[in-house]
Amino acid sequence: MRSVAVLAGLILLLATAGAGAQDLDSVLARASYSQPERAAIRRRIELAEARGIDPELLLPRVAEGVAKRAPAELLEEAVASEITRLEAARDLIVESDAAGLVADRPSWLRAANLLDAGFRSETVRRLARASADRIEAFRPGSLLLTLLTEWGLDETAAATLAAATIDSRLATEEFPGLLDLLIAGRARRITPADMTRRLLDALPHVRNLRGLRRAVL
Amino acid sequence: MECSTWQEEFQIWLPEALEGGSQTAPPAELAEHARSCPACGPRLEAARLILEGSVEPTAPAGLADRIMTRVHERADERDRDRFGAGPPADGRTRRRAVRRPAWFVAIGAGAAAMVAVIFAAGMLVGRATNSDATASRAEAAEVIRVEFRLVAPDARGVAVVGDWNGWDADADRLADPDGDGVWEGTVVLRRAGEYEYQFLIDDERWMPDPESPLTVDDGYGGRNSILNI
Repeated sequence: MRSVAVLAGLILLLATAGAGAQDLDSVLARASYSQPERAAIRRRIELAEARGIDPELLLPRVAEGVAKRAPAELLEEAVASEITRLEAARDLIVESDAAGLVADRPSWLRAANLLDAGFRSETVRRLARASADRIEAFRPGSLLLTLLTEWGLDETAAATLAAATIDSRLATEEFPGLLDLLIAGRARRITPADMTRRLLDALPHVRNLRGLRRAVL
Repeated sequence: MECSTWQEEFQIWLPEALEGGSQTAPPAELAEHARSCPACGPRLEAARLILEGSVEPTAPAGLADRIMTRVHERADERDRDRFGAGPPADGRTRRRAVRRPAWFVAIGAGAAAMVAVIFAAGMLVGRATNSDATASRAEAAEVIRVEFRLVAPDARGVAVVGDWNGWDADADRLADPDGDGVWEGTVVLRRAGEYEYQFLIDDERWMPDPESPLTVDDGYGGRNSILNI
């Protein structure tokens, strides 16, 4: 019985690998790359797969390069760069004891994009650490981070606030509401620094945005 | 009640009412102020229509960002008088949502793009959000409709091309049926996720969404916008 299950698993794995290869081939078929060029791109992706990067994560970059009519050499560089940033994000997530984020591909990609967009490693690490037991909160938390820094809060304060929000009992849909509270605070002549302190003090004790508002304003 | 206070209360009440909370009727103080205020009255009326189901809430996603940008600008102006220089305290350059590459001007002055996200799960859930917003609903039963809009008066054709359509320039073409230079189209996504995309104009010019709050290096000499839903 066990051997049947193992066999079924192997068949599934082979079928999956076959499907991935077929996708890559069909994407590359849309370009006029030479056989050696295609082989080099394929080899790059196979090496990445051996290092734990699913080809599916790289296919969009290949398709993008083909769509943008990039020379094969540039496409290969772009794929290599994508592998590097995915590995960097994965390493950072694992260091943060939040490996579950790697299993959730959008979260993994999100971490890579945050780093690419210029956020410091320490910032992403703090968010990842805070999300270790609440993976679904990582991307909403990172959205809050983006909103806060767009608004002008310095990155360290924004990361502290975003991590505390992830740690709180606030529903993820309510996360962007923190920015509204900061704005409301400024309208009442409460400095952003003071509002940040109030929010950090109140977040562990409230259950929703309404309660948070009552506590800080 | 002052309009600023009314707006704060309104922003707290409306999301709760939309989510089917117990308080679907506006609080008395909100209703009272709205009755006599030409600015706030129409907002409450619009909210009522949405709650009654007379109109569907299809607010464009970029709208929240644009409103917030205006709010920040106004708050900054006020705070320069009150607190001196506003944040960022560390003197860091602010990232702004709107990025306009030089060639973008050639497409048309005042050009802008918007992304609207409407979540539908059998019935319209609808929620104003932005292109960097995150949906945390169950993915299985969810269909995500993303409305793209680009103002490009001189364009002959516009497509939105990204990870979700395999970067196929023919998959999601935008349309400008009335010829006003505003190109629009809706993309249906089968699952929430993190997607990179760009607009393709006249099948030759790639550009990121000027309204996207987060862009990344595309590896091909440009920048991709991020759709995080």
